[in-house]
Amino acid sequence: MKTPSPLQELSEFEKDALREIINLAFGDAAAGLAEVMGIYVFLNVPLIQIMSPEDISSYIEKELSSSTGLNIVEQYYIGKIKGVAFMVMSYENAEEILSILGDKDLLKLDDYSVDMLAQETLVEIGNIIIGACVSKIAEILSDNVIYFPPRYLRGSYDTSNLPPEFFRSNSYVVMLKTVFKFETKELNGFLFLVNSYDSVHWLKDSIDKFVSSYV
Amino acid sequence: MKRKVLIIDDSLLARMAVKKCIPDDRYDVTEASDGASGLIKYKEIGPDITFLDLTMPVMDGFKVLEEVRKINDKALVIVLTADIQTKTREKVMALGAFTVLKKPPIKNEILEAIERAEELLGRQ
Repeated sequence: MKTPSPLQELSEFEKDALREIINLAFGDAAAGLAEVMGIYVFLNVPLIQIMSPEDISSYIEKELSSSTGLNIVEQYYIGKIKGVAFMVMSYENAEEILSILGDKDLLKLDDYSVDMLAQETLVEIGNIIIGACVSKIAEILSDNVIYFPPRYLRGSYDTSNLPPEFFRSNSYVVMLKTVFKFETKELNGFLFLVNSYDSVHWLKDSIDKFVSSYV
Repeated sequence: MKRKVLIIDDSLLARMAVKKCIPDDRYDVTEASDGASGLIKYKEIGPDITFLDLTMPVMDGFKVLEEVRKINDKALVIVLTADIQTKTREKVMALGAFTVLKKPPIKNEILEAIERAEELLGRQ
């Protein structure tokens, strides 16, 4: 008997509920960022895509390819949900990132220091957004996750580094993506989470419980 | 005669949740699943109270609120959003929202907001 495609496993209503879950999660993340760093974030409608583990590498490669070079904060997490989050921003130079912080004195530093500070700022932003977002999703789905340290990468992403135990062939992958924009400058970024579930039944049950408790 | 309520939210779950809170013996509820169709519905039915999400496709809630207030500067728009940034709240209040509620919706908060809106409607 043919195994049903993952695309058929979640109903449209369940996908709608997942979209609302990430909406809540990203709302919390943006508020966290605003509080900690004084940065206002415009939020866009989150996207959800169900995919097979075999498609993850090509999806990530497509998302993380850019002629101008990307700045990527990558962070793995593990619980009943296992996955990796990518916060991605594309900018021409480090000063654009530091301009988010609004401190003109930072731009007087030498080029190396500006670059390092921009990286640290990005990692911090990524840490806050990814942490708040994933934690909220885990909380809503009654899961606990632990995080691996975030990693900064520039330019391109080598998908051969994706750990196979995270995305086994019998797992079920949900990609969640949100595009965001910082108010201070025309800097855009996006966050996408690639989540693997060993049991789609656990995911469906958790979504059902969330739906029941939604009001 | 029943009051008219319009719910504008791209999430079916959110629309269902809000509708569940609204007593159907007192209110006729209409729904719209994006900002643009929400604005069209607003013009068609002229609701007494509107529940509005912010993060929506086609036209976001900020734009809808702005346009609704141009149509009716006394429009009672209750913003219901997952975006809890202080600045977001300030922006929507400056655009003329009646109040801002955080998602997920809490029944008591929704009923309280409706009651407060009713007080104003009674005076109009």
